[in-house]
Order: sequence, then C-alpha cells, then structure tokens
Amino acid sequence: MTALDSARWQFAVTASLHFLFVALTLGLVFHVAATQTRYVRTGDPVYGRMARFWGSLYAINYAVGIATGLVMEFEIGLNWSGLSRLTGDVFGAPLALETLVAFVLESTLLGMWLFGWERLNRRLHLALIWGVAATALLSAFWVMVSNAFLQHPVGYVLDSDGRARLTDFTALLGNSALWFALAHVVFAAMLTGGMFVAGVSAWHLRRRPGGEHTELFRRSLRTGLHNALAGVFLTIGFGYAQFGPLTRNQPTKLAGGDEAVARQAEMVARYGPGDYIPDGIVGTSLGIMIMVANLLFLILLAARLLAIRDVLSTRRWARPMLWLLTALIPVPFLTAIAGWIVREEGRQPWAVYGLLKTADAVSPMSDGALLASTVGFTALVVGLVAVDWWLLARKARRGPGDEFLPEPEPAREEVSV
Amino acid sequence: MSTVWYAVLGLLFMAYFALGGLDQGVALLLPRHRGDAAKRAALNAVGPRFLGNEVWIVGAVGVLVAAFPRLEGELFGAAYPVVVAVVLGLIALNAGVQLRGRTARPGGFDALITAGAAALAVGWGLLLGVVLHGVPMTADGHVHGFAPLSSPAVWLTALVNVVLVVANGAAYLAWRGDPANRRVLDVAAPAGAGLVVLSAVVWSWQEPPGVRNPLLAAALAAVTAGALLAARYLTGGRAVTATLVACALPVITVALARYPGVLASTMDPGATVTVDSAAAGGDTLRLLAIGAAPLLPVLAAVQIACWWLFGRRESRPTPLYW
Repeated sequence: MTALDSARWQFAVTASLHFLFVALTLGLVFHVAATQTRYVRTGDPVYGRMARFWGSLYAINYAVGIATGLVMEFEIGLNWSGLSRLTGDVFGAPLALETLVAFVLESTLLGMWLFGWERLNRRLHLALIWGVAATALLSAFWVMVSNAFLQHPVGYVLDSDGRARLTDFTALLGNSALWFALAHVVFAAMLTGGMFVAGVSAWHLRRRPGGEHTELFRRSLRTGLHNALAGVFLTIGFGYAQFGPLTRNQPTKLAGGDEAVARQAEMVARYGPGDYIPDGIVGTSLGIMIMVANLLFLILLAARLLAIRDVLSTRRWARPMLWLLTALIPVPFLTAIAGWIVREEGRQPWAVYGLLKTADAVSPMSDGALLASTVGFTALVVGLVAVDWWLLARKARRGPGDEFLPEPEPAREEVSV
Repeated sequence: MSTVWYAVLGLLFMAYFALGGLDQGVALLLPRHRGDAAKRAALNAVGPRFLGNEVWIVGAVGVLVAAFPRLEGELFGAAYPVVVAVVLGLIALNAGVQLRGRTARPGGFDALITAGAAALAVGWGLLLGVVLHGVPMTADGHVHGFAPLSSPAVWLTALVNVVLVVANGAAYLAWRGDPANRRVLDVAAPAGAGLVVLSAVVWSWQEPPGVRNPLLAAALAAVTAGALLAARYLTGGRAVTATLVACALPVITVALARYPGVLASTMDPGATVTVDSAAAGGDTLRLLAIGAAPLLPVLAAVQIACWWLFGRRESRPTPLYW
C-alpha cells in the first residue's frame, strides 16, 4: 500500500465509524430531552426512569464517541497536511468553531447533567439536557459547513501563494451542498435513535411480557417508532432533494455510460490526465441506500399502525414484528455508511472538488509510517466500536436501574474517611 | 488579529494544562486508593467537572488547526510519536473513566486510566520541551527527524509536568475531603518547585536558539516555583488554586520565552515560525472571532457555574456514577 492508500483507508474507517457514534448520540439526545420534559411537566416517575435509562445508554455512546472524534481531529493535522496548507484557512474555521464553542459547551453541559439528577433544580437540570441537544445540533451544522466546502468549494479566492483565502462567509453558509445534506444527516440520526429505542423496547416487551418495566418500554416503543418513522420519511425526502444540486456541483459523481465518457473527457481537458469517474461502489451504495430506506419506511409504517391501541405489545400474533424491530437496529447504521461512501468516495479523485486532488493533500510521510499508524488507529477505533456495542447491549438488556441517582446508603469505607 | 488569537490559543492551552492536569493527577493517584469504593470516590470527586476539564484540549487543538495551520503541521510533524502517544492517552483516560463503572470488574479500565494519564502528563511535558528546544526544520517548512526528543532537557521538562500534575491532583483530592492525599502534596509541591528551578537553570545553560525574552521566562518559572511552595503551606481550595496556577504557567512561560517567535528551527535561523507567519488569513481570523465571540462568555459562564453548582460540600454521598 502506498502512503496515499493508507491515509485514505485510515480516514475512511475512522470517519465512517465515528459517524456511527454521532448518529446514535444525536438521535438519542433529543429523545432523552423530550422524555425528561414530559417528566418535569407531569411528574410521572415512569418518564423520569425512562429519561435516565435512555440517558445512560446515550452517555455510554457519547463517552466512546469522543475518543473516535479525537482520533479524527489529530488525524487531519497529521495525515492531511496538504489539505490544511492549501485550504486550511477556509475549511479549518468552521471545524474550529465546532470544537471550540459547540463541542466544549456540549461536554461541559453533559457533565453537569450526568451528575445533576435530584441534586439540581429540576427545571435547570432540564435546561442542561436541552443545551446538550442544541449544541449537538450546532456541532453537526459546523461540521457539515466544512464538509460542504470540500464537496463544493465556494467563498474563497486563491492568493499569490496558491493558498485559498476565505472571502465570503455568507457563500460558505449558503453553499448548495450544505442545507439539504445537513437535514438529511440530522433526520438520519433521528431515524437511528428512534430505531434503537424501538428495537431495544421491542426486545424487552417480547422477552419479558408483563415485566416490571412494561409500561416504560411500551411508551418508549411508541416514541421510538414515531421518531424512526418521521426520521426515515424526512431522510428520504432530503436525500432525493440533493440530486439537483449534486449533479450541478459534481457532474462526475453519478455519471454512467456515455455520459461518464463525456464527463471524463471534459475533466481531462480542464484538469489534465487522470481518472475522474468514481469507483462502481458509489452507484451500488446509492442503490442500496435508497432501496433499504424505502423498505424500512414500509416496515416502520406497518409497525406504527400495529402500535395503535398497543396491539404490537399485547397480542401474540404481533410478536414477529417486535422481533423484526430489534433485528433492524443495525440497518440505519449500515445505510449511514453507504451514504458516506456516496458522498466521500463519490468525490474522488478530489479532496476539495475541482481544487485539490486527494493525492496532493496527503502528508509527505513514508509508506511504512502511514501504514503503521493506519493499522494502529484502525485496530483502536474498531476496538472502541466493539467495546461500545458490547456495553450498550449489556446495559440495554439489563434494563432500567437506579443510574445517576444518589445511593441511599453510604458505603462504610467512605464514612470513615 | 493574529496576536489576539495567539493569546486565545494560549488561554485554551493554559485552561487544559490546569484543568486537564487535575484529571490526570487524580488518575495518576488512583492506584494509591485501595478498593473499588475508594477509587470511585476519588473519581467522583472530579465527577461533574471531568468532561468540562477534558474538552479544553479539543477546543485548543481546534483553534490550533484553524488559526495556526502551519504551526500545527510542523509541531505535530516534529513530535509525531509523542502526538500519537498523547492521542492514545486521551482516549484511554476518557473512555476508561467513563466506562469503568459499566463493568463488573473494572481492574482493566483502572490500569488504562492510569496508563493514559501517565502518557498524557509525560507527553504534554515533552511537547512543551520540544517547543522550547526548537525543531529541525528547513525553510520549506519540512521537519527532519525527531532530534529534540533525545534531548535530556526536554525529558526534564516532561518530569516537571508529571510532578506538577500529581501535586494538582493531590491538592484537589485533599480539598474534596480525602486528607490522605495531603501527604502526597506535601512531598510533590516542594519537589516540583525544585525541579522547576532546576529545569530553568538547565534550559538557560542549553541556550535553545531563538529565545527572545529569557528574563521574562525566568521570572515566570520563579512564579511557578513560588506557587508550588505556596501550595505546600496553603490548605483547601487555596492550595488547589496554587497548584492550578502552577500547572498553567509553564504554557505561558514557554510561549513568552519565544514571543513573537513561536517555533524555532535548530537548523536554519531563517526558518523560524512567528505568530504572524503561522497564522491563517485575516478573513479567517475575523470569521472565527465573529463565530466564537458570542459563545465564549457563555462557555466561561457555564464552566464557572459548574464549579459553583457542584462546589458545595456534599451532605449526602456522591452518586457513584463513574
């Protein structure tokens, strides 16, 4: 493998696996915040327990997600110095705003929320989780501003050193590669979170019918299905909405047959020799994403209809649907990876479309050094995903406990200290 | 504008060295706490502040990437193995602290936490040392090899940082009601003061290239040593304040020693990077200012609120979350 291959594999693996954490985190936080709002408004302890249970799953996923995000932040500086040298001025700014204001604020608020149960004023504590949700959304926004610049660079000029300088911030924010994609990603996260909540609840309702937490999971199943259904519907909508700007911004991405030959000739004439038509995997991923999403929509619609009057959780004949909902938990994650293949692999051979080739963006490092760091970081990130899912599955299977609440009896050792 | 952002970058790194150093110190002292309950009590003493302490590094690296892209590439290139170790340390510490409570036998996570904190304390000290030492780069901005990492003075700086961090963690745990750590502070604080003075002497004897303000740096090193000595004789929150200041000061000491230079070349004096040459363009810095300015006060307020809301002594046992 050349240094370029290693660097690309490394980024592809860390970015797509990191996104799995992001999707679940973003999807769950709004569910937790909405549930806690109900708790504060009604005082119903089932909602309180529900918010704490889903909140603890959210917290596990967030904790491990931070680690993969850190890998990415350092990786851009280490492996892609050409990118920061040429366009760092433009695309670094939104990334910095993401980390500096959105993420730092989000984590600070989350730390207070985790420890604030029954210790802070209830309304203040509720405001904390909404603050976490709002800053999570702000993070997604700034990251997508950066990404949209890579897809379709706007608002810059090349100065005499050949470096891109930012000239028009509003163009960056009005990028035609930004808003539909942002909405697509956010609603895909809503689908992921909703599917997770519905799938875990379905597992409990199927395995422990009439158990201690039936009411909690009955309510969770309804909310989860609701979120998943709305999420998948809007994700599909904003997915199709992107075709217009996409074919204008990146004519090579979805070109096939005669059109591909024509586009290739155009690009060679404009940018010199090279292969400008992306790999076949892009078209395949797009097809899979669309088919799976449409199928998922139908299944979720059926499940939502079955949830009317709780048929889904009370009738024996509806049990296969509960099983199916649990089995479908991984599907939104897989389609998310397919989506990133379309967006990122489909942009190749460009790192910044029409401006900087991926081959020119990679750091001047030896093949061996990059291969070593690729093997190391890939093992690390895959390990983190495995730990995360193992811990999530364990906690999800165990069901609600007294997470976050102060212990009723102090342990002996602590008293003596 | 570039000077303003350099100051912001300095403040962010100072916040991380002080607050992140507190987390590292507590994590390094974790093996001294026998038994799961004692370990959890120590981690819960940091509790709600842990995430807020750790994220300063994410903000600092974000500003480094955006506002000083050249500096970031060259510093990271010159200390690649250290940066990798620091990233691994960050992951181990953060994942370990938050996940240990989720398993029945947290022993493995405890080892991960302490190893991660050790990598961080050593790694950040080494990076400070590398900046002070200068890096072997040519005028085209390419860095050749990791020569600074074989300098004893750089490793002495790392040792100083480790002792500072341990003093910080010990002062904090003592303040949060665990007097056993007071004895650690009583040893670590004077030892740290001695090491700070020693490293100042060694560095002035080494005369790294491109140092502009040696007297200012020496004065700041003296203040650091003074803060540590003060921590030895202060108690409670005041001792914590003193060690937090001592942990933050090395950042500004190293930066001011070189100002207006940032990173010197040991090979070619002309290749030295200054604040202006490392900074991104004016429009980028203005955009950053417009985007960040309204939220930075909110951020500061939230962090202060976090210390204030959870600062009162516990009348009932801490929720054992970690």
